[in-house]
Amino acid sequence: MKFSVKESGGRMDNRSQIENKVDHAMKLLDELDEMKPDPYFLSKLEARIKSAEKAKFSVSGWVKPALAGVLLMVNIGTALWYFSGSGNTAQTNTETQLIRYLAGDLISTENEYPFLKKENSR
Amino acid sequence: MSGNELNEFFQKLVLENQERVRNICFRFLNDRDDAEDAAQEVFIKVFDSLGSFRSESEVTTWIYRIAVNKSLDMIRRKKRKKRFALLTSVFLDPEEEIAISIPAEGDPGKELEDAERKRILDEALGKIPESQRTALILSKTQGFSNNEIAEIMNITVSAVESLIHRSKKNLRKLLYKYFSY
Repeated sequence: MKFSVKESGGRMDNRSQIENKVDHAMKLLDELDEMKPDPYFLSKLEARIKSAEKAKFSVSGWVKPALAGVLLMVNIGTALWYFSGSGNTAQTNTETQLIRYLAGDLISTENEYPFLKKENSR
Repeated sequence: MSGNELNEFFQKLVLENQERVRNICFRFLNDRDDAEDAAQEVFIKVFDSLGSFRSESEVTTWIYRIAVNKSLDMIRRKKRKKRFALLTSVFLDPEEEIAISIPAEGDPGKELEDAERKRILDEALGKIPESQRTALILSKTQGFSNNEIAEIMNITVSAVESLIHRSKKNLRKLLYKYFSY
């Protein structure tokens, strides 16, 4: 019995100790440091804004025309390729001819693949 | 507004609000250099968007809202960096990462105890939800009223009161848990 009384007293002490520590830490919220006014803040800020604007202009100054140039070259290249590639096109008069032409890409002949010949001869 | 007028107006805004903005950032970030950097970013954003600002809310409220958002962004960025550093540290020589802390002047025991308490508090603050943390930090910074906090956070005053109440309750719970180990 004595032991249990002593233990519960100990627990109470422990709990109040923890509560004290918590209160102490919570009080810190009201005691936190503050930053003092900086008389040079505006001049530092203006310098940063100026350098950011300078960088923005110097990059956009050459990036935009270069990008436009590359896009123009790609367009011209695509147009040239499209209009000069007549050798790769085929004209068919009927649907059957068209199907045969397209099927020619899918059906392989034995001449193209010698191993097929071997398989068949077995 | 002409370019000159805009510049003058901007300078006035900076001079009148820099202290509060720097302190908002400092309370969120707990680092003077980071706070300085964030405060400058806030005013750069203000400078860039001043022409398009529609006066639905007060300019100052708008500036403080940017300060809160910039600070929260910076915290998220720092967290990502920390995670990445943790990942890369696995592949680094452990000797490279040793940091030497210089003891402060004055009562070293007391300063250490305060620093430790502050570290625990910061850690607990980082664990409560963002909206609760924002309301609590603003309420403890440069005397923002609940009305002002409501305008900055774009919520009602009763929501602010509720957030502050819950933040304190959660913070106490976390601190109690920490100190009972």
